[in-house]
Amino acid sequence: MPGADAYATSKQCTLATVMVFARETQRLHFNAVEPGVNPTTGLSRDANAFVRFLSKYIIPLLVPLLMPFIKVLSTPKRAARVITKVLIDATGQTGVYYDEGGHPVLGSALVRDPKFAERVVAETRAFLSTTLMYKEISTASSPTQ
Amino acid sequence: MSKKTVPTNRNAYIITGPTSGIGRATALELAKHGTVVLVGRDLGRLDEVRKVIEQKGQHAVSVVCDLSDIFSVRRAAAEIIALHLPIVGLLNNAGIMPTRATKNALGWDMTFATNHLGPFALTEALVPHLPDGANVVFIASAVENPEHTSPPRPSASAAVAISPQRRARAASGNPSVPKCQVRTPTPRRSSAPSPR
Repeated sequence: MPGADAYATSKQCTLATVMVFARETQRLHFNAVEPGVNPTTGLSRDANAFVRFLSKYIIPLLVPLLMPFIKVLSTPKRAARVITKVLIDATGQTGVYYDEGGHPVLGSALVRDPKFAERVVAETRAFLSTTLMYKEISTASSPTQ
Repeated sequence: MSKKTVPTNRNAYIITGPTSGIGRATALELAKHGTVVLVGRDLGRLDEVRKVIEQKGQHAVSVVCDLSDIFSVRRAAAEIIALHLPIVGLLNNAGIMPTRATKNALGWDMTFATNHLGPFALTEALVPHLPDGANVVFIASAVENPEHTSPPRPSASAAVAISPQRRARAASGNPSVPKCQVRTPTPRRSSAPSPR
């Protein structure tokens, strides 16, 4: 699945970003939540008709049956409770990666490496700064702006 | 506009991607705790969620933002700041996992732009305006939890995805950025060493 590479990379960068932001800005709290695998949310909406049919009609029936056996499976409602708990948390936790049950877990060794995470953030900032030029161009060429 | 009816004395939570899946469920849950700023691409779908929240006597406001579009992200951040709400939480929930690799108008990989670059830029724009103690939460994924993934991720990194060549191409205005170069580990049939 060609789209999966970029997905995994983007999520790795997300976690690295959380770790670095938490260290950089200590007056705020930055945390990550892994929502579990939610087969009913249709994350891959461009999947073919058969997969979409399975996601919409068949898998929702199976998830509750399988959840006790496959730990990572979750539902949007359960994920929402965990995420909300972290978002309204007043204990000051920061730089924590929570699993689908709301328990702290460790990220991959790569993401836990501060040098790697800092490089992700520095390169993202540098990359995004190149778009400041685009804004000038698009504003200059657009009579409506 | 709905903005004028939003109370400015209630805690507010920003959520991206609130119109479906986990985001929608979380938006409805968060509305119990304060005003919800709904950030997404489609005003019609945002307003549908806003109305569901308002029907319960709770408060929400819609802000249109395409996270894959850096200019849209900056406009949305300015719009959110201009609401002058006491924002106590930001939830970067929106994410996509298309089965095919596609590009945005600037030639960036659509998934990388939507899942990482957009939320990163949105967060950086909002951070100076968040009060002390505010919670910023990012939705990660099972791919980064070693308990759920074996074998471990390779050392191919984000730095590869935004390599200097790619940056130079973006800066030179040539949007022909190649699709993400990072490879997930796949079992090799031969014992030949990896070229990397």
